[in-house]
Amino acid sequence: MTQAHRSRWHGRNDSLGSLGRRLIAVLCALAWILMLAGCEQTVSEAQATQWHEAQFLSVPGRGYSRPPAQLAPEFLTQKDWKSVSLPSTFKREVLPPAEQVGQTLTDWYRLDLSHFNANQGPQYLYIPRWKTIGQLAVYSDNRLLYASQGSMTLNGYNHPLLIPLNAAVDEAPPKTVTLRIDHLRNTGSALSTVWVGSVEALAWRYQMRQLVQTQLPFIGSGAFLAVGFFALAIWIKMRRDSLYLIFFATSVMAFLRMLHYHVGGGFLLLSDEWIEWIKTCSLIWLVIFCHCMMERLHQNPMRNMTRFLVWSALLWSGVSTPGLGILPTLTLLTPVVNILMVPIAALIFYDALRKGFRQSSHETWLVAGWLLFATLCCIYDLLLQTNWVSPEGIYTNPYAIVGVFGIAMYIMYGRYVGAMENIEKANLHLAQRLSIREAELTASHARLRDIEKIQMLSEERQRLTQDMHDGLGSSLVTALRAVEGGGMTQALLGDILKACIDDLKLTIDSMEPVEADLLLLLATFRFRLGPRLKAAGVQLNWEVQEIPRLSWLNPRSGLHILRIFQEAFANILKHTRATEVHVRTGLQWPHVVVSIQDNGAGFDYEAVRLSPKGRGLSNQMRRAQAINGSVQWVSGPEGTQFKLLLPIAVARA
Amino acid sequence: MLIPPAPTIATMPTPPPSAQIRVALVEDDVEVQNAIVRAVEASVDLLMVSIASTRTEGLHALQGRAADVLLVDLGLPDGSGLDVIEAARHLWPSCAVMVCTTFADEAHVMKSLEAGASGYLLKDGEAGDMLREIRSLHAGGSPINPLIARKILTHFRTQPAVKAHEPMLRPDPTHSVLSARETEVLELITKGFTADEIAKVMQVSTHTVQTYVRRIYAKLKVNSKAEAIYEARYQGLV
Repeated sequence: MTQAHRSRWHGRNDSLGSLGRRLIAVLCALAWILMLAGCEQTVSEAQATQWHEAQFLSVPGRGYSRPPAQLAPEFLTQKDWKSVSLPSTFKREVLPPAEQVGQTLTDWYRLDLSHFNANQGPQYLYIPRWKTIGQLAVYSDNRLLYASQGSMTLNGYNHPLLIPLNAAVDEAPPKTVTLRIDHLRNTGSALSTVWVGSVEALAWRYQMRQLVQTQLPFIGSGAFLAVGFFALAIWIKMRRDSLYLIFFATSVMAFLRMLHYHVGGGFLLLSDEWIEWIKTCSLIWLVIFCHCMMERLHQNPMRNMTRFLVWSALLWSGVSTPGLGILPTLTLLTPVVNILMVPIAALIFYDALRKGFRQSSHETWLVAGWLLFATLCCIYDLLLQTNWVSPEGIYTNPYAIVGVFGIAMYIMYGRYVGAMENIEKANLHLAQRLSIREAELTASHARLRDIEKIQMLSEERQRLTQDMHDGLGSSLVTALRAVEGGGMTQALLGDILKACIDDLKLTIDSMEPVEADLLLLLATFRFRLGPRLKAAGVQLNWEVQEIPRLSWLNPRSGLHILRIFQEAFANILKHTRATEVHVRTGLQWPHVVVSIQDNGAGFDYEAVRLSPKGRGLSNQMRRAQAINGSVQWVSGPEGTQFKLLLPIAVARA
Repeated sequence: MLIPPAPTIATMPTPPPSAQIRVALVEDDVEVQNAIVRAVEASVDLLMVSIASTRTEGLHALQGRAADVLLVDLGLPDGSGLDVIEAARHLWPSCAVMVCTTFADEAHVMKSLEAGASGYLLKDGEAGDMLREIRSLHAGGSPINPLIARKILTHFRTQPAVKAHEPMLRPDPTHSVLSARETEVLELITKGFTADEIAKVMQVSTHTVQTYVRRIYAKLKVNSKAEAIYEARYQGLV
């Protein structure tokens, strides 16, 4: 883990603190349930009686035998019976002497119910726990009532027992209840206190114990495994983070390790040998995977140690595989393996805890601390397994393992929340950067627009100046010179001034938006200059047709077009003596064509163009070129046709 | 603000032929004033009844007997001629108003039409043209030009969008739309055809085409008024 990562972890104590409090609350609830289960030892009610004492008889034998259907009355009354207190335990020898192997003992426990003031109704026998490598049988008076199922090892030792003593109609409660527990001479056995009473008084005790001893471990290991598969799915997507794969492996091992707490006492498909192999191997691998997980957390691995552990585990898993016959029965080796694992696990986890503290890696010392605690739990479980402590206790290993799962969830939660916060921060940062960039863009856009506006204004000024200079200005100067020279008639002056006003009108019209409509521009032109033709007695035939929109049409190009037509009309009026003019529009792909046909005297285009009078023609050509168009003249004795060709597509820059 | 009675321009009574057309003028340019006065006085069927040079004089003149045609210049030394046009609409409801303009440019003419004018008069026109325009206006016709026709088409095309804001479900009588023939007239004008040519295409008289234009202007007036009322109602003024 990087320094930055760690500091982020510590910066978020609030949210994690609240989760921690919730975890503690859940643990407290669990502890309360356990206490309730424990309370049954001291509570004695009218409806249920707890037996703290029994008559005991141990009979040696060779090999296991099935329980007899009936007990001889003389067997129950012989004088060898002696009193023992319950719970009763026989300690297990870790390494049995060779000569005792194969010898069995059958232990009998007799409860005298003759003075038992039972209520009417069925009475139940409740045994919180019995432990043996062997089987249990229950006799009501001298008749076999119940015999445990399963193998000698997975006989249901972790399942409490609740059976009816007089289930049949009108059957009276038995006078004696006898328990038969057989076991190997050296593997020890244990029997908790025994309860007799009504089902109401015993059922909840039985259910509570069932819940704590088998059901919760089952649910916990299942949930652990489910999250393990989730982690596997994450790892498949994100191969570089092996922590998820290790978590998956841990969850599988935890599930396998916890199997023997809740299976058994029934009909299993696997042999005892295989179950025992799974049990020991899963414990070893669980410790190793936890070690690997912590190495990923504190990032300070002991590579050689890990390698040694993995190879040892592989070796053990290999040689202990059932069917190979390398090792004697595992059932007898299990306690040795368990005891060996305790110091190894304690050392590994202590090392991790130390590293976690040194690096102030919250995650590491949390996991390591819990695992160290779990190791202590293992010691208690070992004592329970070998009957050094009361058999009424509960195996703590399942809870220690589920605790690892809880802590792993807590770490995942922290990482998830951290990632989300980082994303949020990143988004915020991104949004800030975006808004800054946006502001910059807006500013630069505004600057560009200002520049554009200035440029446009300057272009417009240039256009109008040029136009005034060529048209209005020169007309006014001509008029001025003529007036000064005294050779100006009033009519001529009027004509010049009218031409000036026409010029101005066209200039003003060119500033109106014509929305790419050439016909509208032509219509405006006719509106302005039509009266002049009419006054000169020229008939105008308006024969326009629909033409495509010219998207490039703007005030500048519009004024060029207007001026070209103005010149054309002026030529007709001045030079041709025409009486009729046709204005037509049409298409000549890729051009729009506007033609002005008159019936006046034609002119020699070449001669006029080269003469000083040809300035008008060259002006028209120049203006047409400026808007990517062209002009054509076809002149003959029957009149002149003037054509303006304009591109339909957007003009090239 | 009261909504005036629905325009009756289409059925405007033609005056008896013997009666002279009474013309009033509000114009500050002396030369233009003289040109118009000379032209009117030279014709027997027209009579100049008042001449004003400022907005104040023009408003004052509206207190007198109504003229048949009022000619108003927009740029007066003491204010806008638009005020005179507005006042004339109320004081001389039967009088046809013409705005005097040099260029008949769209911006000035549209404003005048919305204020209540029925036409425009080009200041640089020949005397004969001027008289013909005045007589045509008096007879119920209105002049138009392509740019104004386009502007009006655009204005009415955006009307449905304006109507969508109206809370009333039934058609609003104060909001008018153009008839198909009126739209056709406007479209032909934007293509450059004259009233005479349009009359031939539509097989009606030139005068009828000009009365179409007058009717279009009336709708424009009604609409601009309805918009003003709507706007006032919207802003809580009425």
